[in-house]
Amino acid sequence: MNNKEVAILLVEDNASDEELATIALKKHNITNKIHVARDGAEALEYLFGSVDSETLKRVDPLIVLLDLKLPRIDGLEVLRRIKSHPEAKKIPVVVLTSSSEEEDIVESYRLGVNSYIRKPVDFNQFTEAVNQIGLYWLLLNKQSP
Amino acid sequence: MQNVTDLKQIERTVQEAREYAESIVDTVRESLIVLNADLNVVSANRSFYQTFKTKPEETKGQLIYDINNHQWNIPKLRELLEEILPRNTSFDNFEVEHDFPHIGKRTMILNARRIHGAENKTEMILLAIEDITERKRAEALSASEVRYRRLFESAKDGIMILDAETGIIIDMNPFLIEMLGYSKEQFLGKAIWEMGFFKDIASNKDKFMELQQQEYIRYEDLSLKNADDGQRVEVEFVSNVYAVDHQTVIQCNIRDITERKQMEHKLHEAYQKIKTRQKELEMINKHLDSFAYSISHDLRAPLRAISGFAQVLIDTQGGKVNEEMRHYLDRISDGAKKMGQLIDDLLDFSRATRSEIKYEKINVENIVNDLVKAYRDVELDRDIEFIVHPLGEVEADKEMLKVVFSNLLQNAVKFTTYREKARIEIGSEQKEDHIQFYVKDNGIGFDMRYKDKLFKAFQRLQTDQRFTGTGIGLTIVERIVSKHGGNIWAKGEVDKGAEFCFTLPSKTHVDD
Repeated sequence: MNNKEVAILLVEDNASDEELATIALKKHNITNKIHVARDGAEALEYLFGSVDSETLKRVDPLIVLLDLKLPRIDGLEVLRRIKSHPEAKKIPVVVLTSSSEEEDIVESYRLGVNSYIRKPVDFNQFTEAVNQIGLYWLLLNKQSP
Repeated sequence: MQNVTDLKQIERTVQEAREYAESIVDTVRESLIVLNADLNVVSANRSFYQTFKTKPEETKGQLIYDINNHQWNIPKLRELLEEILPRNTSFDNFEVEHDFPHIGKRTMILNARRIHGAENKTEMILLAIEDITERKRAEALSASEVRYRRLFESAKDGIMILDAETGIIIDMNPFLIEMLGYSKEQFLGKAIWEMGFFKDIASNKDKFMELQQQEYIRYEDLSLKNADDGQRVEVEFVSNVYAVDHQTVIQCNIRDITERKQMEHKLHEAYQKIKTRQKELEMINKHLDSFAYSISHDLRAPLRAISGFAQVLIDTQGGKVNEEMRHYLDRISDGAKKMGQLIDDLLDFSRATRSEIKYEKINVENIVNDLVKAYRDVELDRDIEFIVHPLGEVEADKEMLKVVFSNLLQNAVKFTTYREKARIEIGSEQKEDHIQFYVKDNGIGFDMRYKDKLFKAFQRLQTDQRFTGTGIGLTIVERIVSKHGGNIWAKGEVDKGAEFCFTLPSKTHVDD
């Protein structure tokens, strides 16, 4: 499978944030194909074929960048579904959110999130954070068997 | 002969008189006893023997004090016989109470006369003993009956007496008549279940049977109807069964609790109102929580877009962006960042205000030393002297107390920025019922005229653009301190420095 085809699943309902995240990734020469899901349901449909499915359909994303506050099914539920699935749980999930609520952070780590980034307002800080975390997990995932 | 005949005649007459007297003496209900001058028993009547459970052969010729196991050896009697009688020839109606071994405690009236014996004309003593124990008891009983009747008549509870066999009303007190609006005649002679006011409850014959068997019934709240005005009377009804003489009666006590019920009702209503209000407040709080959450999420997103795309313009269109354009793009970006900071501060503030205090014992020095160490690590190029005095232990919310010291130290560090040698001192003083902490610096200080504005949200006393900040830090500190029941104030002088003092109560919340 060509890793360049689909490597990043970006779950983001805000078009501006989606574009900024894309720019930030490109700025750091992360050229993997990005699939965008607009909410939690779309993300689950993409991964499992349908919202209720228990079978992993797509094994190609190397990383999931996940917003928490999403229409329909929220980010924490998506995280729970991914991390409780025997195969899907191997995909690194990085929560990328506006929330700095203690509960969200604690709950994300409890569910098994790999990283938690609070989106800074400052674009340079934002690209830096996306770059570091994204790059780290992309590289790590490539190396693991 | 004549004399002999006369003498015999006299003797017979005397004999007849004596027998007559003795038969009278014997039939008298009072106990009589005749003693000689030495107080030995000469004779006693039948009543004496019966009353005191003794026989002639046990008494005759013996000293009165010795007979029947010395039961007459009574100091009071001795006084009467030995002192009063020799002087006065008689005594009347002396009341003596004595506990007899066989017949128990008795109250007696004693009367005595000195008399002359029929044969040898020697002096004798006639002692009459009247046992008035029963009479006394009866008198006492009738006194208590009067007392009881008075209570009954004047009681502020309705009282009704029923015949336990038939359920027929025998007696009722005036208060009941007033309470229920029935006349005495309407009550008397009727069975309780015939009375309209009891139609469902106690009138129920089954209940009456139950009462007969259990001997006690209590209704906490019963609603009775007054026959006069039709008003409902709320009552507490207690009845129990007991025996009077040979009749078993049921006493019903009926207490008017209408007022109490009304109070209870009002209290209950007020309580419900408070509960509803409390629920509303909880809801409002929840809404505020989710509102704050939304602010945090939704308001920041457009700011990111503003700041982000301004930056993207600079990054991607570098060649076409001239100096002036760049300046404005930077302004846009800075404005967005500043607003992001304000939103974060607002959230911090609302969190500090909303959170419940979790009390625990805290070593304050540890908290302060950690913070000081962090500042030392960051402010490497500055010469700051931190002086931490002993700060002791306090009971407070650890996270909140950290925020307090962190904000105060942050201010102190910030406002001493342009001091060649900064000095920041943290100390405490144990007062009677609280601990007072202070954070003192030699920074730019403030004008005491504006001290009231220090703790107001988003109020800044510094116009100096070199000092950044939104002005929420001290407001959060003030909220936390007052949530703990403490006070905060500040002293300062322009260009000399500032001192912030706050107190925390030293009362115990945490068990050891």
